[in-house]
Amino acid sequence: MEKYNDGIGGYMSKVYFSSARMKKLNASESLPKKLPKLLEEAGIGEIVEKGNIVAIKIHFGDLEGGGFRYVRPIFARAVSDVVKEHGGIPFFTDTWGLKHVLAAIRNGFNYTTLGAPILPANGIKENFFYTVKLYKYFHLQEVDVAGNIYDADVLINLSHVKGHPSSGMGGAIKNIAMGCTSYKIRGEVHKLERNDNDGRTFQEAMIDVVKAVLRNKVKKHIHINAILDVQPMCDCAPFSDLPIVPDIGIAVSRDPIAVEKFSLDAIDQAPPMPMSLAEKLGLKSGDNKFFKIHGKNPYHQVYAGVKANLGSDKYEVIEI
Amino acid sequence: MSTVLIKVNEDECIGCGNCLKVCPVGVYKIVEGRSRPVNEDKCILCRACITHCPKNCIEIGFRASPTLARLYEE
Repeated sequence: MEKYNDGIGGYMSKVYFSSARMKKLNASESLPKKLPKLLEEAGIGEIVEKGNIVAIKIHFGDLEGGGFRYVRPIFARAVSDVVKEHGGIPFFTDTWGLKHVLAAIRNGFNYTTLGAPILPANGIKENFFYTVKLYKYFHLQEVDVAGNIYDADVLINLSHVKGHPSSGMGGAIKNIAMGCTSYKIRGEVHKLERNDNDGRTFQEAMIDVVKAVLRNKVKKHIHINAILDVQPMCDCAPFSDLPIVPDIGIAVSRDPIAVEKFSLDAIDQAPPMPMSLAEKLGLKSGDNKFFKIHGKNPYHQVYAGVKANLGSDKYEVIEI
Repeated sequence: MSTVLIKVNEDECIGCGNCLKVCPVGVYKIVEGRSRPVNEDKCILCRACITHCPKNCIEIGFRASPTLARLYEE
């Protein structure tokens, strides 16, 4: 594993974590009940102020109706309820325009299940965005930020951790980088994939996008990684295979890099799921599993994020 | 593994060219008044064509990388 800036992100970030494994046979031990506690401990009360419009970025699932391992609506509902308790006005959002909103409704995300409206992040045909100029960047000097995300007072990044063919893994970073921009930037980032074989350039460009999206959200963003149903492929794929590891839990942090590093470490430390692709490949605890599956090293995005001062790769885990 | 990827319903397509305009990699070409994915291999799965199609007649599947495709071969 290459270390190219060890020490820059030398501070410890706090990652609040609840395991999917229940310690007692009690509802309070179940993840939908624990998620509000995680958010409170992580400081949602300091982030969401009365009257704030709060964008909750989630992946609505694929357009074709074949995938089923996206984040369950019950977790999304728990997040919007917490926002409302703090006086915020939540809405759920994702990219791909109005057609993705229709897919979301089919997949179980709607006002009834979420208690909040769902909106396309960047307009009905993805033409609503603001262009943000970066002064320090890896590959993208100008980044389009999805209009409804830019205009929101707060960004809650509710992401599903899973594999991805371009970056090895998709989690907090990719949920913002691919889901909070324009189709033009999404295309530019994807084109950079061709620069190397192990996904480094693609992941560095994702960090450029994250930096632009968080530019006007100083101390107004928080990241939730659902490390559940960790399937080999992205939620955009029209199918879902068996998860590669058993369900791990939910991690919350105000640091998008730390929560990502924690998630990767947890998945790599976990044993392979019986009967899954991971078992077929003979993967074991300690293996860089996504790298072995996709040939792309997912840790590049973490170290690029540290280099861009978006967070730390060192974390302290507070288990709730 | 096959590269089943883009399907344009030719009965529905009106040849407006929106998909050509928004595609960042030049996948589409208008052939005989209909859009045709002539460079399917270049598709980066951004789905901008689907978002912009006024007839909702484009479907995009999934193309596995060679690394991944091998894992699903028996």
